[in-house]
Order: sequence, then C-alpha cells, then structure tokens
Amino acid sequence: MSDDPQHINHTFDEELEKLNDMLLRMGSLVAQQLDAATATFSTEQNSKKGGGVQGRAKTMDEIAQREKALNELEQRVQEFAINLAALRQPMARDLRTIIVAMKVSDAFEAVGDHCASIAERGRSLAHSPYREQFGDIDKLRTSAAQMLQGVIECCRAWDATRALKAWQKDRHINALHDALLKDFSLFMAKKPESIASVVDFLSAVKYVERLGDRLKSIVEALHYAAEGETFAPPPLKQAALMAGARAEKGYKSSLRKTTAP
Amino acid sequence: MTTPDKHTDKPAAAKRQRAKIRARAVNVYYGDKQALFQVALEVPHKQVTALIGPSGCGKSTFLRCINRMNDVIEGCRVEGELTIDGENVATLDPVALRARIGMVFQKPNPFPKSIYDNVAYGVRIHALAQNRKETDEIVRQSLARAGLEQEVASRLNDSATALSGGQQQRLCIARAIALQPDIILMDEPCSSLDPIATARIENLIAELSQNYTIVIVTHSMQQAARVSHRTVFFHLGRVVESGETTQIFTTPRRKQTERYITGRIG
Repeated sequence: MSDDPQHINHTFDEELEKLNDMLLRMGSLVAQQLDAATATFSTEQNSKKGGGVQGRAKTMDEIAQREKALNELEQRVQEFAINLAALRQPMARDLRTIIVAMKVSDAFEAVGDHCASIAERGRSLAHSPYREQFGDIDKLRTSAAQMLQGVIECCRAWDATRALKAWQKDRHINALHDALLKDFSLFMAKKPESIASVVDFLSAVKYVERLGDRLKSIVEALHYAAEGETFAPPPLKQAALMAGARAEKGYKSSLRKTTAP
Repeated sequence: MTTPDKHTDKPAAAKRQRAKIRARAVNVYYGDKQALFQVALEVPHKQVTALIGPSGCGKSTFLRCINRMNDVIEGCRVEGELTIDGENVATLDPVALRARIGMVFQKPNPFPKSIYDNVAYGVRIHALAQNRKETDEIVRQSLARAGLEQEVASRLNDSATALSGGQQQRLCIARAIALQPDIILMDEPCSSLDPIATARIENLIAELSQNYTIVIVTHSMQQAARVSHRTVFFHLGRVVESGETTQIFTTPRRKQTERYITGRIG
C-alpha cells in the first residue's frame, strides 16, 4: 500500500492488503454501476437492438445486484477496520489508513446509490420524446468515469501525488453540470411540455455532480492518509484548475445541433 | 548549543508551557562508547513527557542525566548543559538535587520496612517534619496522593513487601512525593504490573501531573499515548523527533518515527 518497509509483524501487512483489496473491489463495482447507469440514457439501449424492455429490466436487475454487493462490502470494510483498530492498535499512517478506509467505503457505497438513482431516471425516461437530447449526459459520464478511474488508481497505491489530477476532474464535472443546467433551462422555457422529462433528466445530472463531490472527498481522504495533512491544491496550480474549468464551460450542447421534436 | 528545530523540541506557541528542564547539546559516554549525541530538548512544567524508542536508544540514560544518577556509574561522562529552572544540574549538590527529583523504577523497590516507614524514611533523612505529628500528616497525604491511603490505612505497620506489585509501585510513588519534589522520573513504572495495576498508575500519573513535572520512559506506545502530553522519540542516542503526543502518534514528521511507532523497525 506504500513504499514503507513491511511491519515486523507481517500478518498486519496482509490484513491491510485485505482491507485495500475490498476497497478496490468496491471501486470496480462502482465503475460498472456508473457505466450501466449512464447507459440507460443511451438511445441504443432503449432501442429494440439494445434489448428494449427486456434489456432494460436486465440492466436494472444487474444494477440492483451490484448495489447489494456494494452495501455488503461496505459493511465488511467497516467491521474489518474496527477489528483492526481494536486488535492492532495502529499508530500514525496505519491509523490514518484504517480510518480513511472506512470513509472511502462509505463514499463508494454512496456513489453506488447515486448510480442506482441515475439508472432509475434513465429507465423512467426510456420513452420520453426528448431522449435524443438526454444523450448529453455522456459528456458528464466520461468525466465522472475518468475521475473514478483516477480515484481507484489513488486507492491502489495510496499515492498522494496522483490525487491532484483526480481531484481537479470534479471541477470539470461541475462545469459540465452548470452548462447542462443552463442549456436545459432554456430548452424548458422554449418547450414547456418537456418540463416533466427534463426535470427527471436534470435530477440525474445532479446525481452525477454529487457523485463527483463524493469522489473528491475520497481523494482528499486518501491524501490525508498518505501525507497526514489536509488536502489543498498547490496555489500555483489553482489558476490552471480555474482555466480548466473555464475551458470545460466551452462545451457545445447537442441541443444547439439538434431540433427537439 | 544546537538550535532546537521543529523536529527536536518546539511546543506550539499557543500551548507553550514554561520549560522546567532544558537540555542543550548533551553527550553521554560510557567509557569510549558514546550513548547520547547532542541531545537538545525541553520538558515543560507540570506536564507528562514520555521518552520512547527501541532498547539501547538512550532514553533511560537521558532520564538519569536529570537527577545525576549517571554520576554513580563508573566510567560514565556527561557533557553539555542540563538545567532545571535555569540552574545547571552539574553545579548542584547531587543529594539536594535528588531530593527535588523523585524517581520510580521498573520494578517496585520498597525498603524491607513497614509501609509507614517507607514513606517516612526520606522525610526523616531530609528533616522535612518537626515532629511525629507532622511526619504522620506527610505520610497520610503522600499515601492519599498516590491513591493508596484507603487500601493501607489499617495496616501501616505491616511490611511493605507484603503488598501486591501494583500497591508496592504506588507506595514507591508515595515515597517519592513525600519529599515534595518538583519532578518525578519514571523508568518503565508499569512493566511488571498487570493491566489493572497499570491503569491505576496511569490514572495516578494524570493526577500527579497537576502538581509535578513528570518524565516517563516507556516501551509501550499505547501507554505513552495515554498518559503523556508530549513525546520524545530517541533512536541510536539521538532525539529524532519530539512534539505534542497527539501529533507524534497520528502524524509524525519524521519517517524514522513513523516506522518505529507503526512497528516497522525494532
């Protein structure tokens, strides 16, 4: 989990590895959840080729199973971490690692819940006449998936140096969220009959934005575990982060290219 | 003199306490072998300071510098400056110095006398009481402060060696505080005690820190974390890091400290 030498008592290292493996399994499940949840908005999945009603039901069933597995894993991480704290009486980095593992598992579980909520919205919009436009969630999905991948890499190595890159992805997600909110607010103003569908869609968008916040909190916690200090982006890089966020705002909505029915 | 930096000894300004003991560039030699190297640290007044580190790292050697117990070891030489309230201990009379500094050892070492006489012994030697009544009162107060009064009130004339290990250790603490010292040194005071007796001693240390400056050497990291306000980590005769106990055990600044307290070096 780090470049530190092993503990004199090697079984403690094995236990910490086991804890880390459980977190990585949670990360892997969350990545599958995010893919599956955002795919419920794709027109292909809602077409007959993508399986239609049966395909959607199968997807929802798989999402429910993974959510259950995530909940169980979270419970196991919490119990295992409490046992390690009680029996090993860890200090310093070991103590921070165990406490942070509990926080990370809690955040992964919450991200899984958000994914399930996104999938629910996708399912309810399967027959919406505006579903073509809702494909715009893909841009958010890409950013969120990249951020999640960065978080998993951070988690694999407990490496604080990777944290900044993963952390700054949240700004891209926020910028995309704001842009989508603005575009679809205008869209609803022009087409009041779309309000019900768009509100559902925007709530899914909001879940992705919240999911980004949760992933950000994981990065900050992992940084704390590795370094023993609160995560703060270097001041010099702050400007670059802001520039990145502004660049994302330059995103072009598909609403400007397509005509709503 | 070496300037203390953030890794040696510099309490946070907001919580800074007056330094009771101050060591500057202390070197100790046993014959040709150097045991301490340029030790510089401050021990705050009325706080518990824990000295931790692997066996042979110099923590007990440093403890013995404070009350000049090293003077009685043949071939032992101490260099540098160690002050108590600004007075260099090297210039003080060792007997008077040791009356100001109580010491509790790894194994309880009561005299083969009665419980009463164990506590009264030093009081008589140093003529701290004018008469029997005053001696009685000092003995009673000392036993009470050591949390032992109720347990032994009815058998003060019984032999101290008949007490349990934990009671004997508290009796030694009572004997030390009967001389009204400023400082109490403890060299692994709980290493031969069971968890209940250990808890009693630790509780006593917390209470005594209201009135005394305590320096404790311990091999138990958990004990250092439980009882001390500040912790000093020694390794190979040098102070690697010292600071607030919470900081040392959650976010040590030195890799060496972290490796020791997480069990990665012995």
